[in-house]
Amino acid sequence: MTQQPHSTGTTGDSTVLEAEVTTATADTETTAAKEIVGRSPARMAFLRLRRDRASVVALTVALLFVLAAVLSPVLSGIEGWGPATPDLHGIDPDKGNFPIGAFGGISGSHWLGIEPGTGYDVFSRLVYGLRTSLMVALIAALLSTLLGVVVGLASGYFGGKVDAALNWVMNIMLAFPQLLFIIALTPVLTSAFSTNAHGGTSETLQLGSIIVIIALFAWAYTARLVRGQVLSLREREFVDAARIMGAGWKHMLFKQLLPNLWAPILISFALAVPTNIATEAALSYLGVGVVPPNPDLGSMLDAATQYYLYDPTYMVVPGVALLLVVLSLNLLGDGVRDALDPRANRA
Amino acid sequence: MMRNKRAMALTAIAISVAMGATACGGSKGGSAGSSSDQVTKGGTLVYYAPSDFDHIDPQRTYTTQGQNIGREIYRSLTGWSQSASDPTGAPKLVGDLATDTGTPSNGAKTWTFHIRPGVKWQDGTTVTSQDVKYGVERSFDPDLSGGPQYASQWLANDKGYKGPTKSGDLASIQTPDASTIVFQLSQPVSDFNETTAMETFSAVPKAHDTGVTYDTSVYSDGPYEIKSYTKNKELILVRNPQWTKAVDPLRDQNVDEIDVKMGQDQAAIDQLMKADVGEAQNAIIEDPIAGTDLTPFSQDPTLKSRWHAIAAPGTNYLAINTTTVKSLQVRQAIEYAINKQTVRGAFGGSAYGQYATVFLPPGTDGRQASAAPYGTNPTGDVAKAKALMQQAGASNLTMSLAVEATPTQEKVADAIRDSLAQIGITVNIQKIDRGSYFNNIGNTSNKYDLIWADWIADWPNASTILPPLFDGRQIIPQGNQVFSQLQDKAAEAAMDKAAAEPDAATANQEWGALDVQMLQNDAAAVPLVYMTFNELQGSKVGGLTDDTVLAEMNLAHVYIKK
Amino acid sequence: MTRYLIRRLLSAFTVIAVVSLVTFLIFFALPSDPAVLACGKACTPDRIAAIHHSLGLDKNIFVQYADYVTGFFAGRTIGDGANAIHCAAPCLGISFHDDSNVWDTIWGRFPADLSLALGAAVVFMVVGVALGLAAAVRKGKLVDKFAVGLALFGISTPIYFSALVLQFFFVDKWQWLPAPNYTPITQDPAGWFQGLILPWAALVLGSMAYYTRLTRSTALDVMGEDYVRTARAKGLSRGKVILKHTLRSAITPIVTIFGMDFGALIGGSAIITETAFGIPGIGQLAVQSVLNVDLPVIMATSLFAATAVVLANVLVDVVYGIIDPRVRYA
Repeated sequence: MTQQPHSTGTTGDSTVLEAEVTTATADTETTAAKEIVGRSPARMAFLRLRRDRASVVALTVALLFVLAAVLSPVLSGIEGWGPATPDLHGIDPDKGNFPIGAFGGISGSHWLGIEPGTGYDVFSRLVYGLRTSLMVALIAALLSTLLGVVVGLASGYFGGKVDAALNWVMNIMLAFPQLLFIIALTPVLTSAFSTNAHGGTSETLQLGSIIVIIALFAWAYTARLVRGQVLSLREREFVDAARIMGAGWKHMLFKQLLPNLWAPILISFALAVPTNIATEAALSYLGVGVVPPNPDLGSMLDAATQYYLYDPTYMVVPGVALLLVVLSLNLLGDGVRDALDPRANRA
Repeated sequence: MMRNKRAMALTAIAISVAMGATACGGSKGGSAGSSSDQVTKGGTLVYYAPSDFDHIDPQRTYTTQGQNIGREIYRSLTGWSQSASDPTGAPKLVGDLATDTGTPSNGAKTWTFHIRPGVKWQDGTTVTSQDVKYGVERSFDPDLSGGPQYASQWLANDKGYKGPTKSGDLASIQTPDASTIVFQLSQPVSDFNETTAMETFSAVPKAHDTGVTYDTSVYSDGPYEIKSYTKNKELILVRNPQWTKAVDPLRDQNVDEIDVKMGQDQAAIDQLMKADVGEAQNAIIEDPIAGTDLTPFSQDPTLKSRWHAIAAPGTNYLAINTTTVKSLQVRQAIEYAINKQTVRGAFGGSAYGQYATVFLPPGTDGRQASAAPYGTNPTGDVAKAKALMQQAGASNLTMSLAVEATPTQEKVADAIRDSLAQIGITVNIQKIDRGSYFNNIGNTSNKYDLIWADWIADWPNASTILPPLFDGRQIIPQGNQVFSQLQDKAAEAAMDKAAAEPDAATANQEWGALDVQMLQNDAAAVPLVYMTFNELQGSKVGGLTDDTVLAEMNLAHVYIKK
Repeated sequence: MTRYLIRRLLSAFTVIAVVSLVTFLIFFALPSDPAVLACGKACTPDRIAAIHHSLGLDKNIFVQYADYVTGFFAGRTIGDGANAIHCAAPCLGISFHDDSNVWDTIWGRFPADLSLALGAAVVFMVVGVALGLAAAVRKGKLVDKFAVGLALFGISTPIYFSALVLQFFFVDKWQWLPAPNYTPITQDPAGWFQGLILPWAALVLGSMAYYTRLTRSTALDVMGEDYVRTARAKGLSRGKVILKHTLRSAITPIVTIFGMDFGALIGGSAIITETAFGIPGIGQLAVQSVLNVDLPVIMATSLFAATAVVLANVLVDVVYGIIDPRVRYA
């Protein structure tokens, strides 16, 4: 899914063309959020979210993963294996370092088995990997949303030449073969920033460049969505009223427009998080993401492609974990959208 | 020899049967190459390759695959002969395009070869000594990159020479007549006639040289010629009608066609070969069975009769940069600390090869087989290593480790890192893309502390192993191969002495002793595993021999069973 | 309309020009040097300089870019002396890696992308829309839950995981299918089909969700509209009304997404699918070219991808005018 240009998950924000088309067509995608904003307070949305059983389950699962990620040092401490401590008695070096025992060496001391090749503990690597994934995804989503909102607001509000220029930039961003550029850019950034004596790579810089790159290619979707919203808000009576009363652009942006944009911003943020998790994992899968020995779900799946025929457990564990995280966050994102957009629930 | 396509280096090795040359004999089953089958003519040999050859242009190829397919199309001055009736026997040096293995004079600084009469190009014209001269001259052309550089390293007065199209004639190769070629070297090279078995010393007809695109239009003086070549997709070779068995001591021309199909995933190729149905029955592979497939395949009794475990004249090792890890004791501690068991496990397990105890691989004359300066326990000796670290007063060291960015090598790197963590050395792994790996580590400004590498001799002699890897005078800033950057004057003197020694047996003995000596006194590299390449053939392929020089299945006598 | 089209094409052209320039600049920021790669193991600084010269990398970046652009429109001769190669317009250069003509390479790989894109896109659009309609009509029922669940599951499963699972069961465990690969349809139609089933399945699973969700929500909107109630009151069957009106409302966004998906797929965006299944398409070529630091191929693959996406956008706009008379081209 990361290869799809419109992978933010909502159907609305993917339209590159709405600007060229009369508002009639853009309406199908944007009316929903537009109508609710201004009428329903956040509280009502929250209550609605709480009533939705799927969202509650998703929220619980997502929170469990977040908790596991935050508590990764504690959890792996309880289990008794670090993420890069080999259990040399758990693997058979004569047979290619495959784990000894059924189901990838799952046992009381290795809850989710042993990593073939190295003898590392899978559970420990999983929770540490989750920590990395969630951190990268959240920060990147924050960054891209922020940038997207700023550009989208400016483009929609100022219109004219500013809009034309920003819109052109957005078009270019969306036309880029993104994954390819991410693959090409990652080594550029990491090599530029992160080497010190004896090849030590600063983990912070490494993750930082991944975050920046993911955000760099994601903001245009949010910007486009926000721009569309602003364009329609601009024609509304309360905005007109404020303008007639002589409000300055700061007031217009921050007091009139922004408060009415929370719903689409929140939705696009909520759906950006799971997408970013998938993108980050995809980068590691393609070998340009998180550097080992730092554990990562994507690089575990990459390694699993070598072993899946003989040790399917090692494919299933990170795969299912990744699936569950992304699924629960997507479900939660949908829940948030539905809560902010009661129209979807009627009929 | 450099294996550009490292996949193969990652893979193979001799079954637990072990022990050099016997390994391939031992694991070799009945049908694969046995002479009991009737040799039949006709049919198409299929060759599955995950990617295209580096080059098949004789002056540009430097991978064993490129060289192996190349010698079915063109012939170099000398060659390694293997008889179909003894498919696992040691290859023997014979004249190929030349009538014999050459005549040295002037203290092995001048070498004279005579071209075999009656050898013809695919258009029927005779192959001349000028064609060979032109071919060797091509290897100097900077546009024709790739390929070994022995010609430019050894031929006299070559400074500034840029190949026949840019600089014209190279004076140090003389062709007094159409069948005689004389090489004037700048130094004595007593095994130059083994160098001439490399593809660089093949003829190229000037009229048919197409420069950088010669790869797809290589002109044939061997049993097969190019019918079509679509890069990265397919190479089809068909019989060269001008070739005659009478003037070729090395090869047969049994199959009608050789069809190289490129681009399938190696794992998928492995499964195709294992299933052995349809086209795959007529197929061979030349990138060895790799990584995780290795143990399950090598232990599968149904594959035994189609399995080739070819002992390669090569060592898989970890070089220690002596300019950054200056303390000998620390280097010796590393020698003791590495757990070769998990390292080999990461490479694929016991089928990957024997644990290395000295640098020279089995099969190298003069090798001291019983010597083991750092013990024979493959898990190492952590207590001794810790003691040495203490003596050196070293603690909390940090080192960089360069490996190729492949799943297998990353596991190897993990094993090395975990081993060294036990003696207080923190290792930072540097993954480097496979395609640029050797160029990257060959750049001395990168200053890696530990460097994984493997080395397959260009021809089976210690003189192509120890000097290229440990002679400090050969250190160059770019394209360096002395990864340890060792400067050991005594060892250099010993190398010069062995190289100049006219008696082969004495020379070999000196090389063997020097090998052990350097390990003890310099500890500039940790020999990890001796390599074996495991190949699988289709059930209908016959006549394959195990070539231990290229570590490939030799196609010289191949045929398809009816 | 014509003026509009010209304007759109011009703007598309500027986008492609910017993409190509940025690609060019990024290439020169890459940490590896193509000359070092081409040089081989025993490589001297002299030889590297010579290769730099023969690849044209010793010239100013912008001169090189200008050469590249000129070459595309007028053809050019690459290298000098006896080794020069003439590259006829439209020239995308000669690969640093294997000296092949890049234009030929791209078109040689295009059928694989086209096969992957055509098969997958048609299925994911048709099945996605059908599921979305079914879900809306039976809102809250089992069908709805299944459709919504499948959509969510689909977009949440990374393709490289579903690829592994599909291969594990269908190829290795049950042996129902041969290992995924690409056989040209002209060579062996059955092999072409069998080899692509799993890649199509993985792509369909991952992309169908957008169509399902879009169709479902549009259909639900439509079902609440007055004119639908009116139509039903007039005695028209519920299914017919919903189908007709939903498709009318949803067709514009569906065409939009489909155009973009198809453009991206054709342009080789299915990098992960191609990597996971070993399909020799343009996406795989693109990844290899980055690893090989092969500038002409990097340029060609990204230009090709950008062109496919941008042209798909223009095409979608034009189609709008045909299917939706309310659209005005301004």
